[in-house]
Amino acid sequence: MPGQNVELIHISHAFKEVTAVEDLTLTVDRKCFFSFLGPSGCGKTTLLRIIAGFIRPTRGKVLIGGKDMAGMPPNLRPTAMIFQNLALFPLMSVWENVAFAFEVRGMTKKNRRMRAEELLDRVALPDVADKSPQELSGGQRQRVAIARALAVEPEVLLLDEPLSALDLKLRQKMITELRDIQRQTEVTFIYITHDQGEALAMSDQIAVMTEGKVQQIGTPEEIYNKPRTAFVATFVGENNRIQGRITRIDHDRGEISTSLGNLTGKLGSTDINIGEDVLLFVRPERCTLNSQKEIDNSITGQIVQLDFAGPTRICNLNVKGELFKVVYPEGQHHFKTGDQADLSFHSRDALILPQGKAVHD
Amino acid sequence: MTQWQQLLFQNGKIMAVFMVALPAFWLVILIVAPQLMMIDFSLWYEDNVTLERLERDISQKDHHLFDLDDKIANLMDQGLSAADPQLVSLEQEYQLLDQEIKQLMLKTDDPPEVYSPKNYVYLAHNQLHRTIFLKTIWSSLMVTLIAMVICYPVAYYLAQVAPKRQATILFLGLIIPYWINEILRTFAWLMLLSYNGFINLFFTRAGLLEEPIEFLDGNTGVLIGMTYAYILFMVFPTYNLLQTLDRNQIDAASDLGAGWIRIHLRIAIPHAKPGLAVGAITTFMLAAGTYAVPAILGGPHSLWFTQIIYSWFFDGGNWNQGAAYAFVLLFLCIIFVMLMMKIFRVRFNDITRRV
Ligand SMILES: Nc1ncnc2c1ncn2[C@@H]1O[C@H](COP(=O)(O)OP(=O)(O)OP(=O)(O)O)[C@@H](O)[C@H]1O
Ligand SMILES: [Mg+2]
Repeated sequence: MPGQNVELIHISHAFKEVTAVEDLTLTVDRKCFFSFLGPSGCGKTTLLRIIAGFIRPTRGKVLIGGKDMAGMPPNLRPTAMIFQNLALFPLMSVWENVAFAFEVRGMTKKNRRMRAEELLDRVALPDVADKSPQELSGGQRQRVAIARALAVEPEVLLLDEPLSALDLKLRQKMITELRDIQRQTEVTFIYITHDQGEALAMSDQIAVMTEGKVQQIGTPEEIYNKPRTAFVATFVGENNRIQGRITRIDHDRGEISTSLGNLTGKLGSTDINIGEDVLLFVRPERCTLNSQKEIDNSITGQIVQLDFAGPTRICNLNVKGELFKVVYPEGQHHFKTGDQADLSFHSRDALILPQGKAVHD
Repeated sequence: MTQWQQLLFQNGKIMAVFMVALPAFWLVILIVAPQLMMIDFSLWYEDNVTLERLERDISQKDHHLFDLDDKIANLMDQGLSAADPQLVSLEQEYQLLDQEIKQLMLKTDDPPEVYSPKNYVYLAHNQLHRTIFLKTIWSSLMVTLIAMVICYPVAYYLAQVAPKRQATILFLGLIIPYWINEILRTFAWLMLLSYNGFINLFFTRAGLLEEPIEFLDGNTGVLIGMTYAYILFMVFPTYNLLQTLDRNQIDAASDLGAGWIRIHLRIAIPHAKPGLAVGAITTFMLAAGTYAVPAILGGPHSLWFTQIIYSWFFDGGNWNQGAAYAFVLLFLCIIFVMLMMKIFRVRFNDITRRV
């Protein structure tokens, strides 16, 4: 049965002085599309190579389908990897690339060719079997790499930023296709990316990583709507950030005093105490401008920039030296730069998190 | 923009002229002209039959001259005056003959030569030389093969496995022996391989050999010496190519289930093939054209074709014959290399391909 779960137990890995992965424990469910999302250099590739068996971790265990993979070389693991640069074999034709795994198993040439063409059909790539990989476009090469990896009938497919070289349009198309292939094959996908859009669009589960550590694991909705650390709140999606100090706590709500006055929000963590320095986050699309309704948080600022983004407009607001971003549907307001505007947001839409490392962009 | 204009634009006038003139000089003066002269040379055949006839003629006339001289001396002894008509006519005859001989001698100084393929026909009919020629090609092929078998793992290790520091040290270790002259290096092998040499001494002392081995009697010594002499020419191009092999390709093959033998056969060797081909051609040509190694390390049974060419030039004094032999060696080696490239499906643009 395809699609095994993957358990990572206290995995650590250091290259000489650099610690690439630090005490990482998590379980990837079977048949799940699981993404590791993190900035460049946070140890994603290292982690994937550990799962594939190219790197032996300095500490910890990898279990696939409950079986300990310690000492097992990559060719014996039920995994297949798609490399960051695809690593297609340039001296073989497309079908030979795809059929490489069959060749290893000693299949006859006729069968190899047949099976390769089946796989190429599956990734919607007919009629390129006899070409050389260099003759294909980026997206086509992508699909060849997927077909080649699927040939080993893996339980787990490991993908290392496979879309990073593609342009936006093609990337969006491939995102849907990858998702479809995953549903169809029921293989567990472990997908690595530094692009939060990709991760949110494709994944069943996302693990957000930074500096070798997992910050949060959850569904895309949880990651986006309920970030648990300041890093996740800033790295995934856009967020306005206000610094302040907790003055009042009432169940799951808190009030903080900031340079812009008192603001209220939901507590994003249980270990926040009165008097602590915290950060309040609110998404640009949760803010409204010049609202008629009574909203609990409201501040006034000056519009410094208006960007057109198709269906929406992005408005930058200067409130006492702090920049705020607000997104509203195009046509809802007719502001000019320099206009005064009232910015308001519900306390249920604002999140109070302990100060930690945040991404500065 | 034409290529010349582009060259001019990029390098300036002096540099551009220099860049064109130098290869042209190299090509015409150092390669094409000598080879054409060599071919021309090889087609001149010394007409030995005419020469011998001439020489016979001269010696006969010489005899005659002596006889005349004797006769004149006798007549003078008998008291005949120098003005005697008999003596005068004899004297005239003598002068004439002397002139004739001098003229004939001049002819032999500039031996009669004809344009003919006889020098080549000679090689075709000489069974011994033919055998030595084939043996030279065969042995050079062996040298190339042995060098390739040794060189590939070394180059692979240097390019893909060794850490950078270690690779640098190993490279120095490979290159430093080549700072020593080829002849000295070959003599070093002579000392190692001779009957009472270091290797035999070591193995007999260690009790691994009953009797020393005669390395230098047959081909063994020559093969060892030559492989050593030329292996670096194989290591460098192979190393250069293997260095450009993306580590991920090896990992990908391994991930798809390939064992290390298949990884080498399907990924690394095909990638290194142009390098191996350049190395193999260089090694083969150098081996087939070497003189020093078989002369020093070889016995009478391991005569190299170049040694025969050498003896035509310097012992036999027949440069035309030597030129014909040299040209045959060159020509057949080129044919042979092209054949091998065809068989192993290496194309010229593979060799010059930029990676
Ligand atoms: N072979 C290596 N030797 C030494 N350090 C390494 C090696 N490979 C990776 N590192 C270091 O480990 C850290 C994590 O690297 P890794 O390649 O896993 O990052 P990544 O998240 O995949 O980054 P990217 O998004 O740029 O691919 C980096 O600081 C990197 O410099
Ligand atoms: Mg990476």
